Amino acid sequence: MKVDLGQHRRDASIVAGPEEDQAVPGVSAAERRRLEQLAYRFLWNRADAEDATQDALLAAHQKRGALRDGDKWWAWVRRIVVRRSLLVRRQRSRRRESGSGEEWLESAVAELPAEKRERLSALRAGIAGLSDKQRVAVTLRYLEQMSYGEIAGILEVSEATARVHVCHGLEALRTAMRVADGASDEVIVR
Amino acid sequence: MSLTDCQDVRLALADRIEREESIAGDPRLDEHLVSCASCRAFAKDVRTIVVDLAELRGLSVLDDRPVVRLPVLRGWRWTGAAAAIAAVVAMFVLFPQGHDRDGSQPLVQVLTPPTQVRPVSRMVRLEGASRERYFAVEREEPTSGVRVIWLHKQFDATAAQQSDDSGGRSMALPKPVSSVG
Repeated sequence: MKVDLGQHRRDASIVAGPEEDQAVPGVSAAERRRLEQLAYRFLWNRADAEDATQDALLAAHQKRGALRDGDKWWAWVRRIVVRRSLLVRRQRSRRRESGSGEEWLESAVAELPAEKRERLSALRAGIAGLSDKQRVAVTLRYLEQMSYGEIAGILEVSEATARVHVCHGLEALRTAMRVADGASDEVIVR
Repeated sequence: MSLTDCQDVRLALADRIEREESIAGDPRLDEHLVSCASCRAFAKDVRTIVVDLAELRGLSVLDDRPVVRLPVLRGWRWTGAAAAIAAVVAMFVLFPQGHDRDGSQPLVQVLTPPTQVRPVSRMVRLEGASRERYFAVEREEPTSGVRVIWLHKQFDATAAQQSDDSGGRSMALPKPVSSVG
């Protein structure tokens, strides 16, 4: 099946790089890079992010016949990347790899004040501890800066439900941060 | 929307904080916040979290350093590559479909995809003990007719498409007994 890739490029405001990705026809190097970045937001590990993207593109290629609307190709591939990233996280966690296989950018945070560095570490740990839906919603909203419509598309829920997942995620993060600060006295409202 | 419920209030608060709007000024929110210390604390904490998340976003950007691929594999990765090659050879020997037409033995090379060979047979997906993954494609050199198994670190959609008909195989490789280097 020939998929029209024009619309998703317009939707995502992507300007393809000068070089097309030779390994996957129809996917530019810039698009692959964006997918790897998306996976990295969940995995915090470059090699895992590249593998998750690779697997997602393979899955998308194998299931391309199931996609009837070419305009939804980009959202579809991103959904596959997110799912694959969650799967890799779970596999990594089951293997109990040291450091969870994550790269914490020590050099990037080294110049921050100690208190800020600890807050960001706690925040990242808090995100890792969220439920899958909350983690996806919060990550896509605040790290990928997606609209609620886009998040709803990836989670396959309504926009209102996507908002609720984000809000509950913030609530859970708040609790995690308060626990990290040793000030957990708040009653969570659900 | 009734804003007597804390859940509704917090959804509205999160929205306003995200848009960097003041939480004051909405009489429905004001009314609730005056009497609800818990939601006031929520607004304060979430504002801080949203600022921190923006900072975290800046720290989770992939840089543009080149990706290290097969030719510079070291240690366990080499062991994984060797195990993958051995498995590919074993698989094509055990399942010689489309392989022994001319009785020639396949050669194995670990190289990046060349442009002047065409895929002629199936594709397999391999995962080594080092968690390196490869996509193997059996190809035939157009000039010499020699069959070669190419291991790709990058998924090659063109090769996959031309190999779809013969069906893919996947297998997990056993852990190597020792590491190299």
